[in-house]
This record gives sequence, C-alpha cells and structure tokens, in this order.
Amino acid sequence: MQKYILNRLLQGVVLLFIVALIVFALARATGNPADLMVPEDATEEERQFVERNLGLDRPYHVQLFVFLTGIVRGDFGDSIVYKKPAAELFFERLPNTLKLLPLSMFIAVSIAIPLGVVAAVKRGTWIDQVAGAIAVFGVATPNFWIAIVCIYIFSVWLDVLPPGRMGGPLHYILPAFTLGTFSIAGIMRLIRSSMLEVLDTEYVKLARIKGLQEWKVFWKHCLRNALIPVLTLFGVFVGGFVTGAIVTETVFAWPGIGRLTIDAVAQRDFPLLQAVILLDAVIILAVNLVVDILYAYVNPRIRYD
Amino acid sequence: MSLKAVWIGSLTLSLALVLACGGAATPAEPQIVEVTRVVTEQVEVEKVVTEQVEVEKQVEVERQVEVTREVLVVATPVPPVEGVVRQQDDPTGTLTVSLQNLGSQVTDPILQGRAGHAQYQAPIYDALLGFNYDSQYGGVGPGVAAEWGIDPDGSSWTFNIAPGLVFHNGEVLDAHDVKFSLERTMYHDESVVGDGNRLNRQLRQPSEEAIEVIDDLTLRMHTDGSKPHFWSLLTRAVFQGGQIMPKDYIESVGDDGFRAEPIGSGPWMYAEHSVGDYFRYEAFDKSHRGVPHFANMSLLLVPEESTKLAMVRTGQADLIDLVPESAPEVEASGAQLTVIEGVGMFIYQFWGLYYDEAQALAVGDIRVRQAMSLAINRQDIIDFTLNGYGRPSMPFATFPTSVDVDVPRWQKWGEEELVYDPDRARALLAEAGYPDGFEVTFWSTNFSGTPYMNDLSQAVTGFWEEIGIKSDLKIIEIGVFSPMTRRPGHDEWGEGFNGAVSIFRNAGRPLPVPRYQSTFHPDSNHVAFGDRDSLTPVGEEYLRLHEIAISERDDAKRAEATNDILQLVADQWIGVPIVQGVSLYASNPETVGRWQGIYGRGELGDVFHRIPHAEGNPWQQ
Repeated sequence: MQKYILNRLLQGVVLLFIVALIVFALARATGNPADLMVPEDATEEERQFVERNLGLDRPYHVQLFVFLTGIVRGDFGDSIVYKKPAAELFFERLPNTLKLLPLSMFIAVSIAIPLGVVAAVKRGTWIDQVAGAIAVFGVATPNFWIAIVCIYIFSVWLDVLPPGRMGGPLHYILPAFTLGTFSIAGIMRLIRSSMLEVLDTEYVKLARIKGLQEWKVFWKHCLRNALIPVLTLFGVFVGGFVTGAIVTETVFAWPGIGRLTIDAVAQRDFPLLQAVILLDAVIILAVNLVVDILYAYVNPRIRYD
Repeated sequence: MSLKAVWIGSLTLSLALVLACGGAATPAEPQIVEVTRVVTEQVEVEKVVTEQVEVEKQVEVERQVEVTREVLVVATPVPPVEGVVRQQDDPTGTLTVSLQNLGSQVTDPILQGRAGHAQYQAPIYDALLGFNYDSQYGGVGPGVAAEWGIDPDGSSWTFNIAPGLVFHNGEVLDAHDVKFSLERTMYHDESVVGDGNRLNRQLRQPSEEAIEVIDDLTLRMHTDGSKPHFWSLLTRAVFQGGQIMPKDYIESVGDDGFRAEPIGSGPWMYAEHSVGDYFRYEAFDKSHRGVPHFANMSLLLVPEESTKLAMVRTGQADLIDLVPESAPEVEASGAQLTVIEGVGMFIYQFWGLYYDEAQALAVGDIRVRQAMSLAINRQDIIDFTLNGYGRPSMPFATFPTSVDVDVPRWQKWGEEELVYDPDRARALLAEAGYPDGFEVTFWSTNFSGTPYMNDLSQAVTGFWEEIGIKSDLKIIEIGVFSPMTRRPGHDEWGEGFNGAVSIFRNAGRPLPVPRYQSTFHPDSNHVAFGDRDSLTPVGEEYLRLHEIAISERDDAKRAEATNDILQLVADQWIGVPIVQGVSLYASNPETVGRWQGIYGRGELGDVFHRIPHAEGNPWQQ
C-alpha cells in the first residue's frame, strides 16, 4: 500500500506540473489584465504604465520561471487585482465553499439512495421510469437554471428562503440543494445498477431462502454492498462540486472559491487564477487518493500491491 | 468500524457542520415590497429634463467660461433640481446596496484603475474637484478645492483648498495632503491609475517640481504649456486621479497600515470589507459633501441579475443596479426605478480605413458608411432592445453636458442625421455601386457594466441585413476584444479589426476632445485617420484642429476648433453613434426615498450619502 501511495503522489506531482503549464499558458492566451484595468480609451502609454506596475511587462519565460520557483516555495504570488497573496485569498474563501459540502452531500445522498434502491427493486415499473426521468433531468439541467428557478419559487414567490449571500442556516438550503442536484442523478444510477447486481448474487438468494424479511434483505444485505461503488464516486463528486460551485456561488452571491475562480478568469488575474486552479487540483488529487485508499479498506477484495 | 457506523457518523457530522457554520449569523428578515407607484411618472419627469436641455446648457457654458478666466472663481451652482433630497437629522439605519461590480475591492485609491469601478472608494475619499450636485446636468463642482482657476500666465493652475476639511481620524486636510496624494498617484510603483500617468505628462517637467504648496490652503500646479482642460484630470467626473489621501497618516502607518485601515475625508468612513463579498461603512458627520441619511451602509457584491432582483423584492437589499432587460420585471414588482441620464454612448466604428487595401472595400466609401447609419432604426433599438431605457444620440462622444461644444447645434444634427431612412440608404448604396449590398465583419463584445452590447450589435446588423448588407457578426470576450483595438501588434492590414466594424462605448464625460484623441489622433491606439506615416488629408486637418482644441486659451477659438472636429468626424461616418445609454437602479420604496444620480455619472459613489430614508422623502408625493 505504501508503494502505491508513493507512486500516486509522484504521479500527482507530475500532473500538477502539467496543470501549472497549461493554466499559465491558457490564462495568458485570453487577454491581459491591464486592458481591463484602464478605461477603454486609455492611451498605449497609460496602459503600459499600468502593465509595468503590475509586473506584466516581463517576458513570458521570466514570468513562468518566477511562477514555478514560487510554487516550489509555496508562494503563488500576489493577486494583481486584489493585491493580496493569491494563496491567502484561496484559503480565506475555501471554508465558505466547504460549508456547503456537507449539506449538499446530505441532500444528494438522501434523495439519490432511496430513489436508486426503489428503482432497482421495482425494475421495469413506472417507478423505475420516473426515477430514470429524474436522473436524466438532473444530468441535463444546468445548475444556474435550477438556481434561478429555486430563487423564484422559494424566495420571491413563497418568500420562505433568502435569495442569496451567506447568512444563517436558511441561507444554505438553496445553494446546497442546487449543488446537490448535480450528484443526485449520478449516485442514483450507480445505486440502481449496484443494487441490481447485488440482488442477483448467491448470498442474497440465500438470505431469502433463509426466510429473512424482504426489507432486511434490501436494506441490510443488498444496500451495504451496493454502497461500496458509490465511495468511488465521491472523488468525481468533489470535482463536480468544485466546478458546480463556480455557477452556484455566482448565482447565490456566495463568497467561495467558485466565485474566486470566475473573478480571476474575468479579470485575467493570472497569479490568482494559477493559484486557484492548482490548489483545486491538489484538493481533487488528494480526495481521490483518500477515496482509493478507503475503497481498499471497505472492500477487502481490492488490493493495490 | 462497520459501514453503518461510518454512514451514521458522516450524517451526524454533516448536520453538525451545517448548524455550526450557519449558527453565527442572523437570518435576513424578508420584507414584502408593495406596489406603490407606476414608473411611467418617472419617465415623464425625464422627458421634461430633456426639453430643458437648451436652457440648462446656457448656464453650463457660462460656468465654464468663469472657470477659465484669469481669476479664481467658485463653481456657481445653478438652481437645484426640484425637491429630490433634503438634509435630515442624525443618520439612522442601514442602507444595503447590491451591485454587480465592486471593481478591485482595494482600499487604496492608487490600486484601482478606473473611476467607474471605484464606487466603493468614492464614499471614503474626496477628489480635488467634485461634482456640481445642484445642477440638473451634473458637471464639475467644488471638491476638496472650493475654488480653482487658471493663472494669468496661462500655464499654471491655482487651487484654493476649502478651509475646515478634516479626515476621518480628525487630521486637518490641507494643500500638503493634496500634493502628497497626486504625487503618490503618479509615482508610486504600485499605482495602476493610468490617469496618473496622463496627469504626469501634462505637468511641467520635471513633474516632481510642478506641484507647489503656496500655503496650507493654496496649491499651484504648473502645466507643460497651456492646458485649459487640465482640471478634468482631477475629478471623478472624468478620471480616477485626484483622490485625496492623508499624508501624515500614510507616512506614519505605511502603505500596508493605510490599506488595512483606510482614512479619507468623504461622507462615509470605512468599517470593514471582505474581498468578493461586501464593503461596510459608517456615516461621517464632518464631510463637505454632507452628512449621510443612513448611519451605516453595506455594498454587497451580487453578480447575478436575478439574485439582485430577488433581493430588492424580498427586502434583502434597499437598492440594486440593473440592466434595461430587467426593467419591466422591476416595474411589475413595485420596486422604484431611478434613471441616470447621459452616462455613455454606444457606437460602432470602422477600423483601418486609411490603408490602401481598404479603398477597395465597400466600407471605404463614405456614401456606404452613411447608408449603414441610415439603415438603423435607433428608436426601435431604444424601444425594444433597451426596453425604452436609451436616448437619442448626439455626435460621437458628445452629450448635453459637453464642454466647448455647441450643444443645440449638435442635438439638431442628431435629430436630422441619425435618422432611419432605408430608402435613402439603398439609394446611397446603389450610387456607390453596391445595389445588392456586400459583406462585412462586425466584431462585438460586452464591456463591463453594459452586458447588452452584443444585443445592440445584433440589432444593428439586423437592420443592415434589411438593405442587403450581410454581416458576419463575431461575438468575442472582452479580454480578446481589447487587445485587438490597440495598434501595437495590429498595425498591418489583415491584423486586428482592420477592414471591419466593431461596437464600442464612449463614457459620458464632460470633455469630448480626449475621446476623439483616443480614436482619431495619429498617435492613438485606434488611429482611425491613419498614423503619422499614413495620415489622410482628413487626419491632417483633424490634427491641426486638435492642437487648438487642447491648448487654445481663448474660449471662443477653442470651442470653434472643437466643433470643427465634431463636424469633421461626423462627415466621415467612421465613428457612428447608435444610442445614448442610461444607468438604472431599483429601490425598495419602503426603505428608500426619492433620490437622483449625477447626470453623466452612472455609478453612485458620490451619491450614496444623498440617498434618503423613505419617510424623509417618500416616492409618493
């Protein structure tokens, strides 16, 4: 296992290096922050004055060298717009995004698991078809649309939930639900197929032959084993959560890393964008590594050696 | 550990985290906003304003003449606008404003490049020159300087600082603070205020010696020759330069200390902020701009339009900015609309027509370009694309507030020339040899603050289609668009926008000459009349007039040159107005009374302190 973890960590370092190169190049391919910081009719001299004071007049290879050597020291540079260390901005905002994670996971799991189990048990019936339709709807519906519809229904029409911003517990419900819907479809489909597989196994048949009550067979013997593959989905869920947060946090004016990402992109804040993408990548890599290790722990048939 | 235990533990932890992270803050109390007024009343008020332009302009012109006389003058207020704001007693309550953009969200003025993005700083800091709040048409008024004027030598300006001004920490604001602030803006190696560079270039060199403190309340600035428009660099009506910061305090606490606890002299004291989320302020009772009606103010960053609308409808926000597309929904909801006029102009412009290759193009012919203008039904654009929240335009970069401009003449020009006449357009196309139309590329983007420019581009190209002009509309992101408008890197035919058309925007500034310079001057980025090596005869004439317009001390001669520039450019149909834009705000009438923005200034940084409570100045009279 130790060898496996070491191997994954080394792969992660290589991957992060590649991500760093890509984000460095792509960020600069989409424009220059100096253009957005001066009025449209600014003269070239005024623009160069701003560019020089932002340190953007240096050649690309020099900027890349500064960027890569900075990463090694844990220094992602200062945001050229907000004038604060980019990593500090990221870690200031990260808790706000993470606050949404538990509730959105809870919403996703509490809807998806019963739906997936029922769809499997009632395979081929109208219930299965409805569950399938919900899954398709969840995958096909963009987050921003769900968010706006939720705001209209629950804030404007019913006036029971606030339309946006961080605040008390009620402020968490709409953004968490919007984020959670991204995963409902995936988890539900996975649970359904896992359940169908498990329902066909010998030990389930044996449990039935032994005369166990049907609900015990489903919820104790089938679901426990059907849930194991869902664990692997958690890594994907975190990736989807990070990207989903960009839209959700923008619509709900939630000051998390999703908003920070979109702000960095919109303002061509190179150091901030580089820091956000790289640190997001680190989190996703770490979560996937932990998930793989946990998977081996909960499923004794898995061995990485 | 069993799987069941893992799940139960996870769910318990999730619930605990939700409660823990949500428990500290108090949930907002939604308020129901009732329908109290129809917005057509507001529109009619604005119509009256439009009808008064001619009379009002006469007042404005007189004031400008006074400013440039060889004596110090006070900006004379014209009669105030009818009962919009009245001073009240002690500030109370909190004004919550949701805005789409809060710029860089930095507390130090030298770190924010654009005045339009600095509406979160304007409550804290005064500028050397301010706005004329009492005029229906805004314009420049007293700021930190109560009086100012050009000296008899013609190449220096004297500013008399208003006595008794203090910063939020109680320190007296004097001429030393002004000199320090201007120099900090120009020379600080972190300054991103491009206007600081422009200010530097207008001063006598070496500019370190150009700003002279005569006494505590008198400052003299020596310009590089005659600069009759020098004042424009020192007011937020035009630029971000000119913000006044406390010298002693900054020297005492350093840049970082100042940025952590910023001190200004404006009507709002900085309280706290969180990047990407909000700015909070407390009222300051010793500002020359007046005492705010509210004791506290929160500016919230809410980028999504639907969320802002929901916030004002549910009482989470007292005031929001909005785009014309949302206006009908706001009207239906009962929230109050406030319109600020003259904030900008949408135009389209042709690029690289001075190249030899352009002469072979249809758009190289003036008749074709005029036909393209005649094909556009601007009133339809105002009515349908902008939901009625646009205005007929004057020539390129001119407004009823424009300085050195014969406003009545150019308003008449707008009415006669910017008309919809598709038959005449087709006739001109036929006369130019293009009876069946031609193809042209139209580049479009949305500039910050006006996310409907692509809609305008689609409308314009749609009208062109009707007379046979097939437009290849290319909508691109602003970060890609901006570099293509700069000459460096695009100085060959086939590069940048050369040979094509693009949408563009002119800010509603009182001085048109700098905007003409940035598009038509041979040293500019757009070089619409050619660069120094390829200047067209029209470009040579423009250059001659430009030199007079920026340096002539005789008001009449300078105005004549400025109007000649307008005529020269108008006749070329290279930079063509589409419509004049407005800024829109929606208020909760339960909490906010009637207020008025500053004509030509779409942002509210210099207005927040004048926004009253509903009970002090109700919408329903």
